[in-house]
Amino acid sequence: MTAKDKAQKLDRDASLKAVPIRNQLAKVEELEGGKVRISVPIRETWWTRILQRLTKAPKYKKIELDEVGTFVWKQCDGNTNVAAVVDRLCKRYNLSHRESEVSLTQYLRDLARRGVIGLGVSPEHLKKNR
Amino acid sequence: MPQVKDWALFGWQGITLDVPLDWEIRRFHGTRSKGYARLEDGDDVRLEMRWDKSKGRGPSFTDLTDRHISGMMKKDKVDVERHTGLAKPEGKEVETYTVRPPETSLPPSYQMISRCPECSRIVMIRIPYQRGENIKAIVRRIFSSLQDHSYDGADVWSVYGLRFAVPDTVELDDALLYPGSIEFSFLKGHDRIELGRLAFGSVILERQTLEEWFEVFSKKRFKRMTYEARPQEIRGHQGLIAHGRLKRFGAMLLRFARRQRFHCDLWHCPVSDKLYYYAVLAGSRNHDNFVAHSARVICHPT
Repeated sequence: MTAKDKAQKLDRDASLKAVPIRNQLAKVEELEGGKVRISVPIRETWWTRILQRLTKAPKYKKIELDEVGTFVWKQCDGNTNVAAVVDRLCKRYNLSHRESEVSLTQYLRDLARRGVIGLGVSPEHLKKNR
Repeated sequence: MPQVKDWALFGWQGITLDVPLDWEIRRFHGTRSKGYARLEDGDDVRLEMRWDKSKGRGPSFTDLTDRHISGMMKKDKVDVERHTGLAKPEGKEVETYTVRPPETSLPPSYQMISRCPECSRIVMIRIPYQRGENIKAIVRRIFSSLQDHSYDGADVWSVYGLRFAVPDTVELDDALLYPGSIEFSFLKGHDRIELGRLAFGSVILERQTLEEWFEVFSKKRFKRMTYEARPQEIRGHQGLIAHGRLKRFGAMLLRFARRQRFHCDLWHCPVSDKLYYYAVLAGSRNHDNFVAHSARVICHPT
């Protein structure tokens, strides 16, 4: 996959069929109240390596998810697609379908940007969106 | 979408419109005096809206629309068909027309320009549609429902089923949609209104009381405040009211200079099963007026 592929936008159908997958390198800690803290390794570049040596900067960034974030994280099992997560979110928190979809897609994009999850898209959808 | 069963009120920056229930805001920028909002139905862009203030003694409305339409025809090479009587929102100067781009790949659209003689606001609305789609009745209702200024000094905001009103003197600072919550903050100088709807009322209250939850929530959300909270019914719902002020020593000077007080209403609406909060940090000039608008948050349909 090229950088151009990575940056391409998916249409709604492809976004809903995408499967959120957890970052296998992420460490998960269960917190009080059923919430989770996720530690994601910071991507190593020459300057992060220098910085880490000089300042003993952490090698992981920690992201604490709230109640709903934890619920979403638990749905990212590599089998459930975004549309199914939207449905579950609607039922669990009594939300409108539209609100769930808009907020969840935005939230998943944010998690993906932080390296917590990746989004699996089928090759047909990638081709269609090209 | 020739037939629409359910309609909702869309309210943003002092402008309200009736729109089909599934058209919701996806993009926005700008301020109360000039800005842009886009509504989508999940698949497509359904409505785009721009607003601005007409400046002083500008051109007449007819000149303004003529110039806009001819500019559009020249620049984009579009075909424009003007309508008479498609919509006439009360008390406004209005021009409605259909725009058809030459490329078949681009959608045609119904558009309206309106200018309000009372508030001098110019609102431009664009509703794209698919070729062959008949949405005239929908467009008529949307265009006719336009309100572009407040009547009682309060702007109605209505998105994703959350409806409230805040004084028309405040500016939107931030609006956040997050799974399960929608939150707004407004500013007027250093005075602030924050409000939100959290969609997990009963899930939260399964494990803790409202007071316990507020303590944790306020530590993050209102960490600069010191307050006293007491349980109180709000609109017949279980709730609490907190009163306080800025807490840190560094804030003392500001506190004395601005005399800001903190007020927060928090309640659980069992009908919608959502938690609502409405918080104000304001000086004496705005405090009471801001707090009074807490009553304008609609937590469930009556």
